[in-house]
Amino acid sequence: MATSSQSCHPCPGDDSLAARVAVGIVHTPLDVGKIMASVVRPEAGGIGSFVGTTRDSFKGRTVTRLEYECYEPLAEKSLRRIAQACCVKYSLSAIAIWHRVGSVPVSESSVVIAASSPHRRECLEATQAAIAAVKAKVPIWKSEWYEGDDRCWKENCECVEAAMGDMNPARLRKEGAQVDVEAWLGGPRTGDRDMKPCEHHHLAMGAEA
Amino acid sequence: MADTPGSEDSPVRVEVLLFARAKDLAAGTSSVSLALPKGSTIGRVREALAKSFPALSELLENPSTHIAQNSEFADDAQGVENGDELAVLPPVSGG
Repeated sequence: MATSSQSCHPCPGDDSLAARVAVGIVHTPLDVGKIMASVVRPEAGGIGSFVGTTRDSFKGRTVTRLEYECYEPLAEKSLRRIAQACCVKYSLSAIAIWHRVGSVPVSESSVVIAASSPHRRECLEATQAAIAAVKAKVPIWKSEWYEGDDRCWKENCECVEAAMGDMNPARLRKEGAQVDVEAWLGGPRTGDRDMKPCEHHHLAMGAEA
Repeated sequence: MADTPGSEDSPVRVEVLLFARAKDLAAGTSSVSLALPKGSTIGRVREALAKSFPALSELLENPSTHIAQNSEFADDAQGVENGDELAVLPPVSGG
């Protein structure tokens, strides 16, 4: 929700948070432009975004598509809590996190994250934190399909690291302004490996107004 | 023993959903009904599942495999109630 005052709201109330957050799991192609547009706010001066796309190869093998499945009720809840945590931690104007499931052909998008904030730094950092949390904790799985119809279930390195460190089921259950920011976005451990290359990454950054 | 999965007099019956690699390892089974003694925990569910599907044992012992209870992340120490929907969540790979 846009505010006309210049004051900061590091811990917005539930109503305010709900208006800033949009998430979803869809079975159809994602509209990147529409998702980017959904986080435009008058008070925001920048939009950060991440688009995860299906890459055509893995370790020399030709990949034909990725197939995603999810535990939808918990996956959607998890996306919402990650978005809420990002809003609180980075004082975002708005954030959207959408994930596609089912078959995703080469070059098409599986995940789109867009975040807006008054200044550049927060929206870019929030975008990075959001995709790291999605890859570590949200119950979504992909199998990689190769030429010849051979396939393999993938495991994100972020997920394995989370199990060794900050994965705490009880702390992941809070919602709204009470969402456990550290439980979802991690402490120092998460920050340490924020930019480590892992899995398919296609980082696109929006312009700062 | 009253704690044998599927025994008649067990008072707690739960539904367990299997996803991704868990479903593949259980020969394509996406949902299994388990009967457990009253007072059973999530940890006990892991054991019962491993007994029913030995191929799942290794995955169930993986620290990155979590169990959800009624669409929330759960600890192994939590108790289960009659009618609970549980889910085996193998290491995730979204994004």
